[in-house]
Amino acid sequence: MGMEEEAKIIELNILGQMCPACLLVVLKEINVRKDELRSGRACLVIRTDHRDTTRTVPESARKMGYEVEVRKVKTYYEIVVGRKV
Amino acid sequence: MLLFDSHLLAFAHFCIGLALGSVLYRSDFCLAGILRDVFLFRDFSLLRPLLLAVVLTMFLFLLARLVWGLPLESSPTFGRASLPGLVGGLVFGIGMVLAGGCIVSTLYKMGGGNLANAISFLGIVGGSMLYAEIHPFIRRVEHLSLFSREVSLGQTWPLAGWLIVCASIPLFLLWQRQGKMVVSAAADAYLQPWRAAIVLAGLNLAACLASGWPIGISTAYAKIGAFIEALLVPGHVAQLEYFQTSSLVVQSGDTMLTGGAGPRIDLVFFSEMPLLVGIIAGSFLTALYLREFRVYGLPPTRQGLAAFGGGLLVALGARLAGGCNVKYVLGGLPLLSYQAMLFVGGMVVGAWVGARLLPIIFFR
Repeated sequence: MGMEEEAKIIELNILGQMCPACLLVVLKEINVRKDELRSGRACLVIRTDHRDTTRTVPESARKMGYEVEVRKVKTYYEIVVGRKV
Repeated sequence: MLLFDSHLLAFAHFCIGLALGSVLYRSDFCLAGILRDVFLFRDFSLLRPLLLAVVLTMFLFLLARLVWGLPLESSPTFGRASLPGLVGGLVFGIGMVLAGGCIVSTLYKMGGGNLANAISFLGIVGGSMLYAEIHPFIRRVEHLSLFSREVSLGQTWPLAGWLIVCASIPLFLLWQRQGKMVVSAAADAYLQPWRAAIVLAGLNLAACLASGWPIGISTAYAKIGAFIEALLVPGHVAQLEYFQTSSLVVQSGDTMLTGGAGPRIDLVFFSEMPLLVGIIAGSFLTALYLREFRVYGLPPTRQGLAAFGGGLLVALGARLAGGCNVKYVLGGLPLLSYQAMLFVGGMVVGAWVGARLLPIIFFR
């Protein structure tokens, strides 16, 4: 995905947070940053150790029309939410 | 059944716990989260596998009665329906949403390294100790509010279970054909929740074959609390009725076996305790194997407080009702226990209340 190279990266570290705060915090951040994300000026990089978040966040973000990519980094997962498809 | 040998019984429960912890970790099949997310995010995707677990367990229990003659309808861990069952379900439902997990999901998440769930664990142990102080009053209310003469619908109407199983088959086939039983997740070695549901049903049957009753675990928390309290204030523990009485009484051959929350080596010590340790070990080992085990530190203060407070409520709810959601949803509903129906009804309302409270607690 090339969006990381051109877009500003907004990091959201939710490692160690409890469920379902992970999804609530992410949805709030997506909502706050919606203009930057929609236009492709920024992408949101979420770091989480919560396995179910790799199901819930991509599902919710895709429903909102965003591009989503998930990758495992060391002991945690990185979910990248990018521009509207 | 392995009641004749307590060490074999403990080993069997430890192995069941290991498998349970591993399966729950891989699928992240959180019984508390499933219900909470229905109200919080309108997410029904994991509710279907949960229903599969209930109906499949019902089928296996019915089969166990036919094949091995196991009289699970009269299991010693289920009693008559009463008001504390309903109120307990309500309190439990609110608590599990705030704590971010129920009695079992707290264990597998804690085993995976999450400190927020370790805080919930402490809350559940603390809540069980608090309950011991009010136990005599609750039992009086229970005796005054017994709703049913029979323990389960299966006793009143033996064909009910078979009818439910048969009626459910087309529904599951339809969901499977529509692809609604499969979810998409990117976690390593992710186990589809419908597969986890099948394993849960199998493990519950294994527990029944080992002990004679379905999986139950909440008394183990009370027992941990009792052992701690007995070290600090032994005189007080000796006066508490809850820690002196047995909640489980089983005849094994010529011997009468008993178990309870008290700080004793008894039937609960050899069944629920190894199950609890096994679940933590199972998820810990799976997290290690997947190279995901790491402790990331304490959660934000509000989440930590919610975890502890929720844990207290989870314990109070479970003790009021005489069991938790694992016992009543995965064991009681398949046996059509009236107390399980009351508990689940209360828990659903409690989960709705909890889902309303959660955003306020986290963000305001």
